[in-house]
Amino acid sequence: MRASPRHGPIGTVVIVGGGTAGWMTAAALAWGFRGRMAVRLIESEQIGTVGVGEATIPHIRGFNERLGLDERDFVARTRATFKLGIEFRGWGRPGDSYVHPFGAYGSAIGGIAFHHLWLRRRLAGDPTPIGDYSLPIVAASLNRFSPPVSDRRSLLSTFSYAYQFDAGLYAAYLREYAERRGVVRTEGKIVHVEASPEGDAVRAVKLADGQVIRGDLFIDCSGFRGLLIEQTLGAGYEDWSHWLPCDSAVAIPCETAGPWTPYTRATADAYGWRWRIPLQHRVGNGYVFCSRFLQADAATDVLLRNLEGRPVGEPRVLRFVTGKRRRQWIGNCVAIGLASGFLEPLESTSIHLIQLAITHLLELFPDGRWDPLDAAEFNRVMDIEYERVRDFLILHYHATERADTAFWDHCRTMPVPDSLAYSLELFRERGALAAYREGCFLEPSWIAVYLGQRIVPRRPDPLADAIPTEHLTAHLQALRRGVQEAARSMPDHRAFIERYCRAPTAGAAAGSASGA
Amino acid sequence: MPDGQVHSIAVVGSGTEAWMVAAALAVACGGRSAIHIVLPPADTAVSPKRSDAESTLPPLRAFNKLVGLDEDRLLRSCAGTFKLGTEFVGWREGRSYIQPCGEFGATLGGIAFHQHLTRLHAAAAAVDPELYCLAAAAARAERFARPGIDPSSVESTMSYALHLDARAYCGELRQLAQRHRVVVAQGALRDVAVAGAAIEALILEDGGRVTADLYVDASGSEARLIGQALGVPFEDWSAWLPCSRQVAARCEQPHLGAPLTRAQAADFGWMGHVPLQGSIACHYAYDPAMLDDRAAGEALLAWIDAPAPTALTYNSAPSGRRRAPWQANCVALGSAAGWVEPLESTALHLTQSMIVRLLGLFPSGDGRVERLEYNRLVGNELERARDLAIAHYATAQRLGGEFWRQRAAAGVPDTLAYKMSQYRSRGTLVIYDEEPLPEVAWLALYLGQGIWPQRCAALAEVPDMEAVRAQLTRMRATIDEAVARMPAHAEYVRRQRLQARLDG
Repeated sequence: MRASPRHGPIGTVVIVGGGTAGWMTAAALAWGFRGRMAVRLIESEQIGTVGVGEATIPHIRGFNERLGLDERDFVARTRATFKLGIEFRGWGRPGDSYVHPFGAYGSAIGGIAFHHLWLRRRLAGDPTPIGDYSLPIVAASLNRFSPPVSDRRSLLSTFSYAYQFDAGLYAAYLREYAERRGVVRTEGKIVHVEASPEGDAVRAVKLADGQVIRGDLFIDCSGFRGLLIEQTLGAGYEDWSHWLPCDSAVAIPCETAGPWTPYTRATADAYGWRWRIPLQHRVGNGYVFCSRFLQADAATDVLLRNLEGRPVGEPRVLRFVTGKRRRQWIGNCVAIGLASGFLEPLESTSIHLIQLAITHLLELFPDGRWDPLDAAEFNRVMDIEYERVRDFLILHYHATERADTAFWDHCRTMPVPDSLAYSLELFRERGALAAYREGCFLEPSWIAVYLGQRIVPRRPDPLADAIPTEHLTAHLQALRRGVQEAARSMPDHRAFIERYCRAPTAGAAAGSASGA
Repeated sequence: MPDGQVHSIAVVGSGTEAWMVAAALAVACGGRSAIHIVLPPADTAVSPKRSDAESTLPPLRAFNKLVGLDEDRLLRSCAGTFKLGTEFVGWREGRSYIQPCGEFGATLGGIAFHQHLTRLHAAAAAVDPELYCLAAAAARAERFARPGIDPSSVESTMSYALHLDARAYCGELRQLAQRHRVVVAQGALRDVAVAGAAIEALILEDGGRVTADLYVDASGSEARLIGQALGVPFEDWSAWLPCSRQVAARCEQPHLGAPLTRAQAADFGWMGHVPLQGSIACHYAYDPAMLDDRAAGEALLAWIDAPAPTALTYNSAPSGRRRAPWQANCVALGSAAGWVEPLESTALHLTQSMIVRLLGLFPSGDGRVERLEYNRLVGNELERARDLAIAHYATAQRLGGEFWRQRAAAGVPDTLAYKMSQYRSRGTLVIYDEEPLPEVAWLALYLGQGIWPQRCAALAEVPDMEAVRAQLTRMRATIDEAVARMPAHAEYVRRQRLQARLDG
């Protein structure tokens, strides 16, 4: 098919780096452009992938659906489990626990948001936690799972879900997908990047074996170092570590000892937090910590002590600087994944940020005229997305009463970005949510974290008082009962997976720890 | 308010805006707060003020439902008709387009519909976007039926709004508010006692005083409280939107035509045309610096091609916004807070939005964060409405005249310039926070004005063009069939009346 004569097409896209970001991008380009351009991916087996994200948020389903992946096949191949939310332990105070659910709480009465209805009962002495009005939370606590139904009138339609999977297997799965659709993988280590004379574009990359690979568009998926975007084009880095001071993580999988929980767990610890991500064949574990307060060896000890089962493989330590590139798209180079920035996986956003970049890249895909408006819009929206996630993460650290270590003292008392300070005050004072259009976390997510971390509005909505008490209590009782019944009608999470999409070799693949 | 709660509210105003907020507050407060309506002087008779007829947007139906106004009843009592969009006439010389209450086409293969159209257009195909829009196609055929709710049906791609007699709608709101025990003060407003930055009391013609915990300024562009009494500055947008003066008239029209509002470009502004049962409400919004009232009135009468117009009525409302629509114990809403010339039927829509925001941020205690957030949201929303109105002028293609030359030279705000550049580049529709209208309003404007992106999104180049053409042909057929199933707009309205008589 001929290209429109009004502009030149992109002939070759070169993706530098494999891993989750590289292969997601390759798969999406292969899907979107169906072989109308050459897509090459260069990766080196000598350079490991980071793959920090094993837990995801529901948007990933849109990505998989777009690619036409079969859910059963995907779940089996990546040894995935289903995810209804994240349990946060010990964040407000040691001993606290709440779940950030993928779904709303209750339902409004006459335009009064549910959390204000709940708050009114709470202030009147009703101790029922708000989680009792959330189907995904109650289902998660019972280890139940089945996908939501489409009938909007049913309570069983009021939630969403994501996956917990092996990111290494996901990358391999997408590699197969992409290669089947014509993406060419080149094994090799890049030893030189040829930039344009003006230094504003990438011309070619040279491999250790002397091979020179030219391209029209370069996607930098080279990880933290940003081989193209930073080392070649000098994007600059916005450092956010004064707000998010954790700069290290140690990770190790272990054998599963407990049930397959349909949720991820993030447990606050003395100098950061520990993750627990249950897969079909093992459990992913890690400790994200701040090296100013804790040495890697000590962190590893803490992590190992808290494993529920026998460790699989050796602990791996990662270092990072939280922040983002000042410009994620420069000239003919777009950074995706860790090359574009880093936000710790506290809310499982790593893969989501990759997905967002891919989605925007596809929509703003350049042509031979290189309209600077393509990069301008990409950078504008990605900046917004990064900042919104950043604020949400900072909230977890800042909204705490923990005073057990200098680390938590710092987090509790540090100044936060104006945008977060504003949102926080609005909720603390009035229980109102600063509404933003952009950003992947909607109102229920913010409510979950605020209330879960003891930010209780000083002044509840005065209009909630206009609802007669009997009406209100009946409404809440019916909701609570409905949620219980609906949750109990769902099958056990593990039983569901075994029936629906169990990995054929699950249990026999404990060696696959590469995706941690 | 010794306990920090609002026990009494005084609303200043007499128009539809005032009665909308009074009714909404009365319903939401459920009798817990006393609500007084205080009328400004010379307005002891309730009047809708700005308009003779309201051309509304679909969300007003939700407002009516919230306060308990039955739609069928409104259609009867307010000579109501249906609206499937606004027809913009002559904004490009000799052309017209419909900005629909509904979608154009459907996403194909994960790619926005207008990207496919852009591709066909670039391939030199004649493309008429309205053929793929049920609301527009039905409106062109002068047909209407309320859409069903089945999300898989083609009917679900359209919504609708209402045309209502403004005086009657205002009366309905007033009745409703008074049923909810809203009290009209005895005597009109004479003066406002101010203490510092706040309002202390409203002083009536007879010397009586009304005091309240919260004062709501719904007095229209006069801004009796927020502007005149508290002196909150007004940011004037007339350099971009100069049609601050309006002349209106009503004429009889027994034949009910298309379910459309019309906005026709004129020599010194634009003329509006709102169909009601049995009549048509017309107005001319013009630049008073370029046209005097008499000439405007004559131009309006010349445009109205129908017998027996009523007397001409004039009013003024400059486009712009209050820097802080909520200050201390006084919250302004409607045109007291900000006004954008109603090319986009945003008059009641913006008022409704401000009411919803006030209810969501109903104050207690010192109300500080509520004020901050209200002012932030309302300010942003007004600016977005402003940008959309300016976009009509910025994209106008008229042959001549000083007014239109000035419009072309006026430039646009940066936010709008960025938006338009993104659309022109590859059809990206940039939507900021607090946009009062959906994406489709922008798309209709661009497509209607014949503005095509320089290229389609690269993804849209991928599917086989013949397959896309075939899908479009099927889509058009589906829409044609759906239109053919609908009765004529006039017939549908007649049936509604008949049904009401049988029920009633």
